[in-house]
Amino acid sequence: MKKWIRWQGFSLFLLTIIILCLFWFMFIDGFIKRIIEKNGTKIVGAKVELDNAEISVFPMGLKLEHLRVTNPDEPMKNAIEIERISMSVDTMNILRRKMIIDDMTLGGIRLNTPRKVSGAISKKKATVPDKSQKSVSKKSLHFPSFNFPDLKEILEKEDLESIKLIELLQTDISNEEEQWKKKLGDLPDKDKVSEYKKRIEKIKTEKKGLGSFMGAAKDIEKIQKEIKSDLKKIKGVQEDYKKTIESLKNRFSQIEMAPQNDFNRLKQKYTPSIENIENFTQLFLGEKMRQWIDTIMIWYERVKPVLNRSKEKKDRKEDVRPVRGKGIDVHFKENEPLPDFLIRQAKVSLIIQAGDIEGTMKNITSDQDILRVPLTFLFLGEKLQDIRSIKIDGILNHISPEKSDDQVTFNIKGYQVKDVVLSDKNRLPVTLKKGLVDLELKTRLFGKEISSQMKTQVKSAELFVGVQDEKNQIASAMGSALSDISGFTLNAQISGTLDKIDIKIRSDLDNILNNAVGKLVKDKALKLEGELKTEIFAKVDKPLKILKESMEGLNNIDEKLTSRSNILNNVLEDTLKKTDLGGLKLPF
Amino acid sequence: MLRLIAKFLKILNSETETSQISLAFCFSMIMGFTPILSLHNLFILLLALILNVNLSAFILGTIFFSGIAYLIDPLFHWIGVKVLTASSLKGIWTIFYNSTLCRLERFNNSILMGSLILSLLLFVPLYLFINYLIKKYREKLLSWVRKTRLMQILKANKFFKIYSSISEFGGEK
Repeated sequence: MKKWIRWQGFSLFLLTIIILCLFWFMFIDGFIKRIIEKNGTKIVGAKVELDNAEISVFPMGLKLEHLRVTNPDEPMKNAIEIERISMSVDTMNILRRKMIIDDMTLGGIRLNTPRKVSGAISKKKATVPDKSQKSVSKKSLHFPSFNFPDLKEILEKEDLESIKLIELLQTDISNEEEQWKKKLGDLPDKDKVSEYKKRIEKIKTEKKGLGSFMGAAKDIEKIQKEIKSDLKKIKGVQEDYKKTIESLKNRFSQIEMAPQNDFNRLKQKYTPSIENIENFTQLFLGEKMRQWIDTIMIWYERVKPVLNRSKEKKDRKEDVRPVRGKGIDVHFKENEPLPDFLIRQAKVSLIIQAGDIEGTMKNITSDQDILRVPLTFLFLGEKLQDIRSIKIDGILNHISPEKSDDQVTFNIKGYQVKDVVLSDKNRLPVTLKKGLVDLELKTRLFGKEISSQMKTQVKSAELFVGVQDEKNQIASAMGSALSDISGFTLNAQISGTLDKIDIKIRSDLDNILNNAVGKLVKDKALKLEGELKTEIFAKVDKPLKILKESMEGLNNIDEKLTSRSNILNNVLEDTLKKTDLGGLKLPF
Repeated sequence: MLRLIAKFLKILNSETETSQISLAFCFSMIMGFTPILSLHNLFILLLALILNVNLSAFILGTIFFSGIAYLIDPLFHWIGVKVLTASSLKGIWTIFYNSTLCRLERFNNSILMGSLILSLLLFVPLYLFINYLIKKYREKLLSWVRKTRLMQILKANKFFKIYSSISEFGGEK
């Protein structure tokens, strides 16, 4: 080789590097913008759009303008819209492929803003949890109708089980009677007994000599065998009969209890439940609260994978199959471990209808197990429109993903509410026309177990109750009681697991309503119960008597069987006694 | 592309040092086998430009070895995983892992590690092998190739015109 070094090559190398840098500076902003939009859309399952992205090198940072994230469930709305995002990035850690954002500012955040064009994408991501899978447990509390049903209507509409059973047994008894009569006919009767007697008499009269004497003895023995056989047959039939009678008697005993069962069933069905009357708040707000919790759960399920990435990563390691050309990254112990992504501090400015809420979030990362510090947040808003103050703070601790501990406290004071629908039931629609609300909500999610307490005080309240049926005494009384209320408290307790959440709501409204209508409802219920019982028993009484007579009629068959058995026994005994056959005693 | 192949053929058929062509192929093997946007490839590019190696061979070789790399990608991954998870090497990898430069190199990726190791292992054997092949080609095949019917056909078409223009006006050595 004549000459090993090609110095113009070095210039070419420098030129290549400069071109690459120029290319980077010219196109990197657009490239970053497209990456955010593409990956954001993929994660959310609806369009994520960005007006502009700008990277700065010294110091390393990124600015984003007007980020819009479509709500995948409502494509004509943005779930979140952020006016500006700016962040400063730790340069050295970028070289180590770690995105450590020391400081981040999110300004002008708006929620649920309308969109001009739909943000739906053709392939909607199916990550939204199925509401039916994880839902709040629904207790069987039904909103009472307040209308007490007419007794005649109940009895016309409802079939009594007692009557059905009586009719069935009556039919069975008739069938049995037929069968037993037939069987009785097949058994030896009076004619048969007379025949036996005639044959015995004949033997007595025909005794002439030793030969005939021996023949008579044989004949008598034959008659005795026949009688014994008949007796055995009667005994067998009698035993079968007793079993049948026993079974029918058992059924009869059950039928005697059936009217009471009918009464209990209809009472439960038609008499208003006292439990429902005593817990109106649960009825009013339970369903609404379930809807709120369902919505919170959906968002929690969306956020959870971000908080628990480390756990999923470990779980996935077992069956990892590298993408072609990508391979896998093998990780080693770091001297100063840091997550792959971390926002040390984010200042957030949230714009809601009532005004601005300022907040700070610290240590946002999906690798809390590496950072060993939980995510914390605090949002404050004061002197807002219709709200005196609002404070939301919490800790999301996923340092140990399997023992995650999330705690959130929500505090709102002096919230002037207007036209809040408490109950949209047709029977008793209730609206809180206005009121001043103080609310404190403390929630803890430990692993999968949730515990939450909500204390609400409503002052200067004006309730509007739209009773549609003025004739309905109970609804009217309730409406009147609610209209007079000027303040009330509302406490809710949420417990259970994420799969099955139980809500208990208590309020002093319950006492007020119970005082207003509780006695009325109880009196009406008692009256209905009394009348219902009398009617049912009266309706069943006659068929039951007839049935009893039929049962007694069956006893005649037993008497007949006993009588026949006795007669045959007498005949048999006669043949066994010393028989006078010409002064000689028969050898039997 | 035709121009590039023509250039390469010209050099192959000329008196150019065989080591210039072989070294270009060896550098291109590293460049082609390993992920293109790796830190070490910047160094390889620098070497390929500074050292007097044949650039046509380097570019052609890079394209060729990139295609091969796609085919033997699972082999790279396998080698990479074996090397990175070898308990005896854990100490050194941990030191590398804590170094910013090594992290930038992304040495802990199975494909990168596997392809880099394989290409480094094959570097010298490939250099010697290609040297040998070029020498043998020039000694025994070149004169025969020039007389073949295929070469005659090639001479008649556009490709040969490019080849000739490069030969006439001189090109890269």
